[in-house]
Amino acid sequence: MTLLQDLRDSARHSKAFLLGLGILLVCGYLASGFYSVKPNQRGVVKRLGHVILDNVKPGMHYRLPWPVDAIQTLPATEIKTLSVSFGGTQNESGSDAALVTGDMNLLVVTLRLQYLIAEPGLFGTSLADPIGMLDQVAKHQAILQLSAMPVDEALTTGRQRIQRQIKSSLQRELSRLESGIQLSSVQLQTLAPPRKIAAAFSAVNTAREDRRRLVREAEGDRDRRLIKARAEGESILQAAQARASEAREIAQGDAERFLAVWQEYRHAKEITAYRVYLETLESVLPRVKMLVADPHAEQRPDTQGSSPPGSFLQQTEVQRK
Amino acid sequence: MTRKLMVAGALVVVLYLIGTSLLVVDDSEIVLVTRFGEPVREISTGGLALKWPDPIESAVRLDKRLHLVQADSSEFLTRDNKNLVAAAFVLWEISDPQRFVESVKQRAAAESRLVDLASSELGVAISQHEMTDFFATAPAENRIGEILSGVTQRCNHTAQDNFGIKVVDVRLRRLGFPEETVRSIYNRMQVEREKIAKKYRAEGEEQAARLRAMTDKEVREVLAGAYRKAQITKGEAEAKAIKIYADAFGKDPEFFKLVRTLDAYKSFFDDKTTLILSADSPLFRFLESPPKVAP
Repeated sequence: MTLLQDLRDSARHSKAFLLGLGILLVCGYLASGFYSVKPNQRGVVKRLGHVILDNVKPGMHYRLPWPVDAIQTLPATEIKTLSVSFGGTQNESGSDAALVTGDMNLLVVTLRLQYLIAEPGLFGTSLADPIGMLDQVAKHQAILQLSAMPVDEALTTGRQRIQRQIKSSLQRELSRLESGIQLSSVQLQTLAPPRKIAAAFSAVNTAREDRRRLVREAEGDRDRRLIKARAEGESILQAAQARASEAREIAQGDAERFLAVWQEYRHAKEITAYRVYLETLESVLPRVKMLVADPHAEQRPDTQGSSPPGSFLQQTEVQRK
Repeated sequence: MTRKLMVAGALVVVLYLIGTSLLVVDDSEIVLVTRFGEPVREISTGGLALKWPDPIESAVRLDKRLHLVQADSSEFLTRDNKNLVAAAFVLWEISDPQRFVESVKQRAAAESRLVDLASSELGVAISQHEMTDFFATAPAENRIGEILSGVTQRCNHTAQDNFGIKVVDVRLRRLGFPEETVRSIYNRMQVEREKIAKKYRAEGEEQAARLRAMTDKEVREVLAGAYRKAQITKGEAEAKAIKIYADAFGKDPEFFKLVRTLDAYKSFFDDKTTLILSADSPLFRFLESPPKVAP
């Protein structure tokens, strides 16, 4: 009984100390209800297992101490990334897990999902494994989208549509399943033919480039030739106009000269005509070889033996000037 | 002393009773309360709950959240005898805790049953559809969603009845082909691509040729048009010239003939010309007889 005695004695002597200790313990217990939520976090408070606060903002807060209230903080505002990929690697069954398009071609696909926990109260409460579910549901959506689209569309114009559709239907699924997750973006990080036949696909791209190049060249050629033709046409036209105005001017000139001469001629017709005639002969005849034949030669005796019998009586060669 | 011991004993009993009759139920749980092993009620809302102390009533805690279980890939045959490799995943939750506890008890057991169920239902569904129901180039023709909702419904029906499980979704996490098929698809894709590449080149050549022909035509049109305009211009000018000449020369045709003829002589006689003139020509009139001048 000495132990009890001792305890009783010491308790009696240090009553104030024990009281102080007791108060301190109680205060400490009550103070354990303070908690802080960091800026990138949101808190969920459960009282006896039931969620009473599902979106506690950053800062200092108070809850009832354990075992009544429990606090769980989640990095809710942080945008997280999840990659979902198909193909590229060998999967468990040994065959290439590339996605199949609507026209039964294979494509290697990697989706990059960005999401945040928009409703911390739901996250983890209604789904056992929200992230695992996000991964799987995204896979399902990708399968659905790709299997309804031909490969050429998927690789070109369909890309945006695939992203958009996956995002909207995936978000719908996540909301329906009460995951508390909000998608901020869905990107097709990879959307490509499998490596084994990538060369054939890039050959198609080259061919498409070639097609464009051929047409561009033909267009360039066409422009050049049309410009040249137009220039040529223009010069033909200019030449014709030149010729036309020339012809007009010449005609005008000739006419005016004629009229001028004619004005004078009218006053002395006979003389002028004769003069003009002779002047012409003067300029013409000195250049030509001239034979003068006598129309009456056959009636006359031959005066020149050396001449051949014929119509020539005289042969005059007019010297050149 | 005995009094104190009795107080201590009573305290222990009270604590025990409190400990076992107060029940903290989490929001993610569902609690099945059994009385002497027989299920009597379910507590599905989170918070504090009461039950009779332990030997009388005991609590079985179950996870009421939605769970996901993945099935392995396996090969299936479509109605048109094509091989498909598919793998499903199942989203499920406990709908009837009592039946769940009675039939499967553990989550792992439940999941392995669900996987088997989903795979076999999927197999049945695939065998009732053709390849083109799974792969179509237009979204409207693709029936995967429809097929899977049928599978979900049938799985749900069986699971509800047998395991107290609600199957929320049966979905695909993989849909592809067995390896041999993949190989032949690669070959086909290769050939298709080559064909497409050839087509593009041929199209390019065709378009280029068409452009060239069109250019030829247009060039000729431009030149012909220019020629036409040139001729018209020239014609108009010539007409005008003719009119100018006619107006002028028409005033005295005789004089015109004279002048013009004389002009012509100038141009068509040159040093290679030999003229034979008659001695009677008036040109030589004064050669033989001198002019008689009037006195």
